[in-house]
Amino acid sequence: MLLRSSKGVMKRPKHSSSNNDETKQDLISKLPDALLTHILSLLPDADVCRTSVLSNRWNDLWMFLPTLHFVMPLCWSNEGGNELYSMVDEVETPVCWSMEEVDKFYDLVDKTLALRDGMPIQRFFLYCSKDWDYDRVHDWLRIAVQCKVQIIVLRFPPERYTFRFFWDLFKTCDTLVELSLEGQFQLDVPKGKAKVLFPCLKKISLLSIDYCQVFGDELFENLITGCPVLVELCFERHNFDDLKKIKVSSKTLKRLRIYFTHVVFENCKVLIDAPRLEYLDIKDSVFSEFSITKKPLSLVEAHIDTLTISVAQIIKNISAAKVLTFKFPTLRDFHRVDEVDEFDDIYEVDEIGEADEIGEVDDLNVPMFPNLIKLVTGIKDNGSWNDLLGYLNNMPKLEHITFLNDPPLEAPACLRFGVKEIILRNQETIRQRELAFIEFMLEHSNNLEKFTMNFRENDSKTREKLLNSYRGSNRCQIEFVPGLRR
Amino acid sequence: MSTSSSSSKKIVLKSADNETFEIDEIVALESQAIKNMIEDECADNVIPLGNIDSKTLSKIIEYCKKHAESPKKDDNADIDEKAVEDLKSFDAEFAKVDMPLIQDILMAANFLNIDNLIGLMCRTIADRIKGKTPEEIRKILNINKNDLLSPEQEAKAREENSWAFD
Repeated sequence: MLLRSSKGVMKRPKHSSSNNDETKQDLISKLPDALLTHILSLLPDADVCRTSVLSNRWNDLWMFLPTLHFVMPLCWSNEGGNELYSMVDEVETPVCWSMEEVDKFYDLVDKTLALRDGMPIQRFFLYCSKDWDYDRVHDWLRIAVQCKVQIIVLRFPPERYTFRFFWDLFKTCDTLVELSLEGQFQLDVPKGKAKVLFPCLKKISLLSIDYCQVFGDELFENLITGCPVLVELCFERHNFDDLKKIKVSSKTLKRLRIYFTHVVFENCKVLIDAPRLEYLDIKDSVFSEFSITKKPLSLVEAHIDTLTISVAQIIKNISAAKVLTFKFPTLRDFHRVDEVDEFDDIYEVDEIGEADEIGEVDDLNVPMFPNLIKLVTGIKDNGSWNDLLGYLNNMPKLEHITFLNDPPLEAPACLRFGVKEIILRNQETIRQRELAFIEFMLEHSNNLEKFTMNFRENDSKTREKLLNSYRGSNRCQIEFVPGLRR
Repeated sequence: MSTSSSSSKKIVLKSADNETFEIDEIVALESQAIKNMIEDECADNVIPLGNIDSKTLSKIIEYCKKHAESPKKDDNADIDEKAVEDLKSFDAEFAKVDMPLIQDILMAANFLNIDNLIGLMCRTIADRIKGKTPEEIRKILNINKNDLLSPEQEAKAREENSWAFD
């Protein structure tokens, strides 16, 4: 009897023993498409696309993968030698070589989508350079939606004109769960509240997008509220846009990442209204003002790196977390203080250890951190150390602490019982005050298991001293890691 | 070659070069194709596999035995982690063979319809060609030189996906 397999009968050359090298061993090319695309689906996009040149057998296989990756042919504007390139804002700008190239690219996408004939698309990645054609991109996305697309990644070139996104395509799309938009085009969100834009979108990334000039804030808010089941928002601003009051309002949001880099010139206010938040990551280098309306009780992890000097409200509302990163200029609340001079005063006063004289400090009103296990602290203002001690006292479950800046002048006694791990990202050489801190912590922390610090190889004297110093915990290991400080 | 209890039902597989392998039915059932045959009661005592040589077949039986012995993932939620780790390291060791044998195993696994093994072989191949140039991949997979693109076709393919070649 013959064995039949649902996946097709395997054929092999009959004279395999004689003509070994040429035909016998190219078994791989004889596998059915389904298997070859299975292999391709395990490779990164660029690797997949490169297989198109392997041989005739492999030439168009990549077109049949569930993930499609299209990048318009680019040259970089600073390469020169081409009349079409342009300089915009002195930034390298991707520009197509010629209209002929653009047409070829369009034809390739058209051809691929036609050949697939409705095969499901899992992810559709499109990187357009200048001179892209709205109508054709609209057609591709329409097909992608018909093919049950789940993830769309669109990157557009720097443009300063308003761009009607293809909102209409997605109103009824019940497969798209992830959308990533990147590019300096102005996004024009439909006006009016309570409009559903993406009925089942769970994750949205907005990277370097511009928003409509006049109603930017309102449109951004509408975009977020237009995603009724949104779970994750990644929001990055790397260039000037027109947002001033940003409101992130979502009842379903669990993960939020906000990155504002220094290229965003204007500081702005950010209001976060996301009661279900579990993960919060803020990196802001433009003095934006953040506030969180309600305390998200399910918050697990929060990383706040900001230059803002009114942090009390933020800290209070993230106090339910298990993992926290504080990177603030100071722990004190300065929201009523505008003068830089007063900033300097604080430093001076603290150096002589008379922090009590500062009026604002007394109303610090430190919240409890009942769940906190891991804390990374990078407070730039040395004068805040006394305040930090107040915070540490309210962290009864703290086990891991990392100091990104200088360690406290006074070693915190509250760390003595619970803390298992201390990481000190000190300067390369261990300075005197750091040494004092390390020795104190080694001596007094009863449950310490590991103390990690940056260390310069040739400072063997300090190393010996520390290794021989008394340890309050006999399980404590000391680890010296050169270059720990990045 | 089996160590299982003598009471279990045996299946005999016969390779292209006429070597026979007696295995427990439970091991043979790892192959969906053989399972279908047994269920359809169209399996004789000896199942001839006219396109799988004995070297490949013995590797496949080695794989099926190990996987038949291990608790299945969907049996219950808390199979012990050690068994999972054990199977993982077995798979990793199993895949450390040369490319011609991997391709033989993949073809045979496809023919016999053994899903896990197909997955393992595809992952192995993908790992070996990841990040490689087309020239290197042609060599690794021993792609037939008679099937290469013409220079014009290759230039066109490179142009279409030029971003991937930078």
